[in-house]
Amino acid sequence: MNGLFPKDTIKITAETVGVTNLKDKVAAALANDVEYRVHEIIQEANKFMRHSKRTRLTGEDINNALRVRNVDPLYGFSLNDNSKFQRITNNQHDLFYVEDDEWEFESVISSAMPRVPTDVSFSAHWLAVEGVQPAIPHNPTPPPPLEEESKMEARKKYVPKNDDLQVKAGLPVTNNVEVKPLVQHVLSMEHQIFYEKVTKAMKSEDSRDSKTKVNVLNNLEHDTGLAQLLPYFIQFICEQIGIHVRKNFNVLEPMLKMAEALINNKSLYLEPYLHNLMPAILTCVVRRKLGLSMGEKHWSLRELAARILAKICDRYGGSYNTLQPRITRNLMSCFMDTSKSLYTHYGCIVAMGALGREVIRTILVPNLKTYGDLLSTYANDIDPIKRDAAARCYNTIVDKLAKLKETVDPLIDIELQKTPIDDLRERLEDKIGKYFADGVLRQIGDEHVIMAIINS
Amino acid sequence: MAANQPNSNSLNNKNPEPLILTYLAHKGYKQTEAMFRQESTRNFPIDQNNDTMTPNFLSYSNYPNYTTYSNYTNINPPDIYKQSYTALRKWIEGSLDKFKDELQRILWPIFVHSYLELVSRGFSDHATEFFEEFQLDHKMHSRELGTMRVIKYSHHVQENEFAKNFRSKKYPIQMSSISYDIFFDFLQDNPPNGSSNSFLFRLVNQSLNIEVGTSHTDVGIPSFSAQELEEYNKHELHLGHMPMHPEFREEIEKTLREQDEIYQRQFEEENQLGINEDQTNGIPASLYQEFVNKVKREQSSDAPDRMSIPLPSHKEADVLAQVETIKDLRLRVELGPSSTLPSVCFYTFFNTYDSLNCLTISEDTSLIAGGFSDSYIKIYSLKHEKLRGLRGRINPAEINTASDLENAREKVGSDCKRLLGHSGPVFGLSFSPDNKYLISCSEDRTARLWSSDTYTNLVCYKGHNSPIWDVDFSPLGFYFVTASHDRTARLWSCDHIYPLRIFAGHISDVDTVKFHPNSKYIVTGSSDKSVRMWDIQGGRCLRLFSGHTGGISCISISDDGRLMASAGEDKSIMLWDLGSGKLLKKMLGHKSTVYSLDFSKESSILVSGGSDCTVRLWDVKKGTSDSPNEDEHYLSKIRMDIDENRSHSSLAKQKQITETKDLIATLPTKQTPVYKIHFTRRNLCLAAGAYVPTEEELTESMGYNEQKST
Repeated sequence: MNGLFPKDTIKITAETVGVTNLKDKVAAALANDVEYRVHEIIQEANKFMRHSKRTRLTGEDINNALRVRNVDPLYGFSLNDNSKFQRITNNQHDLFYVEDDEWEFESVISSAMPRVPTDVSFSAHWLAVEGVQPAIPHNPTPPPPLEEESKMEARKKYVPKNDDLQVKAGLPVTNNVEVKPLVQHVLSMEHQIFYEKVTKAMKSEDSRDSKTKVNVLNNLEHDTGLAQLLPYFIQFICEQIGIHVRKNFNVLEPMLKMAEALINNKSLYLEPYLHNLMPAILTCVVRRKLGLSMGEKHWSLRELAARILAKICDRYGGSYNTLQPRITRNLMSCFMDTSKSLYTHYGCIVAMGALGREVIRTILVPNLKTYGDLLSTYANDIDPIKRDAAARCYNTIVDKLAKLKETVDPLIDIELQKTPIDDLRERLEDKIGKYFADGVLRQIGDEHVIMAIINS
Repeated sequence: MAANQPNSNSLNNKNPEPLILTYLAHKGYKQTEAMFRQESTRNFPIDQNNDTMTPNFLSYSNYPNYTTYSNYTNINPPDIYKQSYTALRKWIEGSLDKFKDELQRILWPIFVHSYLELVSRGFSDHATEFFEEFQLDHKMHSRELGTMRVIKYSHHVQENEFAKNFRSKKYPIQMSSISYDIFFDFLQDNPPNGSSNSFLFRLVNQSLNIEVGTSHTDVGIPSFSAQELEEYNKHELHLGHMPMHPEFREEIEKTLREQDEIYQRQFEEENQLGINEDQTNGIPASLYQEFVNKVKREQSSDAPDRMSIPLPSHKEADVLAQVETIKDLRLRVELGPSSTLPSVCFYTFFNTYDSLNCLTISEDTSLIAGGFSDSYIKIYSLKHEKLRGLRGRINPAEINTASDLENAREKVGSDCKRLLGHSGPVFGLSFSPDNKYLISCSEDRTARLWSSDTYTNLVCYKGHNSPIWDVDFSPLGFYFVTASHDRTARLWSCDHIYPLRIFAGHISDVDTVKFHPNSKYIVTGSSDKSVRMWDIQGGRCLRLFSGHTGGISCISISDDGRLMASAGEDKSIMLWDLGSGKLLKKMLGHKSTVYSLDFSKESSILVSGGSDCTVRLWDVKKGTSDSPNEDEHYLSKIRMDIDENRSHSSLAKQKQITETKDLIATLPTKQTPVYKIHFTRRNLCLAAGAYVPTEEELTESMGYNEQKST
């Protein structure tokens, strides 16, 4: 029989109390009885654990159980349940012992007294008001909706654990943090620490912080408990963009990414703050100069801003009817303003492209004829930077036009067969001007696209 | 008889006498044996050796069929248990799906009995083998399996609580008449392979109490059968409210009328002066009327006799307290599942380091008290006031007015008062209904009475000889009752240091105890999975509620005194009708042990909290016989759940936690197990618990400590 206690253990124990040459049979019988007694003690200890409303058995529970059974308690195990069992193997015998660190008496005496643990305290909050749980920091954040969960699970694998961001509730982690109410609306200390950490990480230009930034962005995108902080984040983003848009180009990208993360967060509702956020993002799209030095990177930045713009329209356009018309009107006026720089034009083009086919069809295409004239002058400019910019605008426009392919009626094929290619070309030039028609034919060449452009 | 056995070997056929003698000896038919010897010696000379029968002669292998008629257990070879069990299991598996569930329940008691018999007969190895082979069949009885596993010797069987319980009582099993017939046929049938169903027959006869009727929950240990319970639960009860003392009532009525007059006068004055601009605001409802409507009830037929529970005569303060109660009644919010749901205020305790054991809230919601593992009790104010105790040396003769009393209190109060006196973990606390006293119980086997005026210990009650788990003050004050590890509950009065009644009957620890609202009865919940109701006057057990599959950890009785809810380790809450002793419904949804329960004041909503860090609201009416339309649907859901647990094939499947439909809302907390649920008189729900920091938080705070210290 293989019980919990092997015979050898019993024999060794017997030796410690002076009984040598214990017979195998006796040892085996004792082993089984010991197992039974140990089980009894554990059963009693379990009762003490249950009545202490704990789910973890402690040394003190065992001692209480022993006391109930009129057995001397085991001293030395009740202080901390951190005692670890260690195993050593000696002559194929496993020996277990409790790890007991040796302490230098001198050092214990000379060391400073440990801090007195914080006293028990309590706080009150509303767990439910008329049966509904209010969304306050004291209550756990509601779980994400069910259909999202599987997706979240899949994502979680890639989300690195952001240890440096975790701020726990309840326990005063550090006493050094000064609690200062930002406005009349008082945020919990945990939220304040979190806010500080996020903003610090996002402002930092140190490349070593790039990993933290990724973590922060991940957190912002998936955390369901950020509603309280949302206005502060929006304000922070607007402020930072406002300050740095002239001078410090490097801060803009993290800010935009932050905005993107917040928009992507399904548990946040951004609409009340859109009027704050939109100007900042539009600025990034259409501003003549982004930062002091104009590197190549500003192109991608404009594209990012345009993408965010489109995302906002997509998510809130339904409930906020005038949102998209207002944006497109803005974009169009910039686009048509010949006095504006090519960079501004570029921003408008990508933004319009991102907003969807409808905008391209109704806003971009009808204006291409006039715009073509303007662009062709830039394209022949002596300044190579300007030439380059013009080429970019040109290529982007042609690219965006390609998107129109899907808008075309499938029945168009019949019409296409009837029309000769030269005829098409003529109609295309008529619609968008020769300058762009060349590009479309050269770079896309798809008859469907051409028909779509002509028909729009 | 032996001669009739067809397979007996040739030796037996020639000479059956020794076999007959053996049989008679084992059956204890001494006189018949003597007679037989006498008579047979006349015919055949009997070999004296046969008296001291050689083991060879009786070895099982020689006489395989001996067992088929022998009732004597020692004759049965140890293997027969396994054979019989296997045969039974195989037969049940092959039976129709319709009856499978009912038949499968037979396996568990047969399994336990077989094992215990093997152990008590000294076949430890066989027992272990048997156990290992079939324990997977009984996963839902994992707690009992854990106890069984270590029973290895016959003396273990004799002293183990579980084993004793099993062997002393028959295991009740309910099955339909068809299943019963099939089963009976099977037992009588002799299968062709020669294995012995008659052995099984004996086992079944010995251990089972089969009742033909409706199915019933399977508790896992032997308990009373449904009929026995029904018989038992026929005792007459008086569940009505305790009538007030006529003088006391008159005094209250007088005070209320005076108050009403004052209000009336004030109101009129205000109206005349035009202070009260809000003309729509009529005269506030008369307190007296309120009292008549809600408190003063006509002597109902089932009200207990007031004289049956002697109480000290009332004081001026009692009248005032009663008036306050009636004022509160006016402010009560009517709650119901279809109307207003309760608001829950949660008190979270921090930095308890797992040492907080229990919490209680005073009836007037001014104080909260907690009992700790390190043997002290802490009282906090819930009103954001400093607690100011009376100073030690005061002369009662000098206290004449309220200001005198105020002067006698400490000048500077404190946020928290610590009560020292116990010498072990404090497991239970209860405030007296007038909030003047607190009773506590502890591992040190004592209960202590504390004053919430002076914050000092007044009396120490010794009597229990094991740790005390729970304590409850009577709703009328003066009496309290304790529940202990020594398997008894005891009734005490504040002015006696010895118990007045001892309630013995539970076969395991009494874990929780609660007074009935009319103070005439108490209910106790025990680790033996049953709830009992006792009469405090006679000390008799009047009701026994059996059906839980785990120990009971909390009980609550509705204010009208008709309903009782019990819950515990089996994660389910059961609702009982006290009058009939019947189970009304089972509420499922909690994922871990339930720690506390309370009914709303009009008994329409039940609130529960437990170690799964949730507070749950339940509809009391839904699913009981009061709403027959939903009844069927509800029950089918429960049955489905039970079947899932029972059927062997689905055991391997992931066990899903089903929620019954009467769960109105689930309110999760932040890592805070809920220790106490308490409804105030105004129907506000208070809940309290201790926050459990995660491992990381703990190490972080420890690390911080160390940093500080170095």
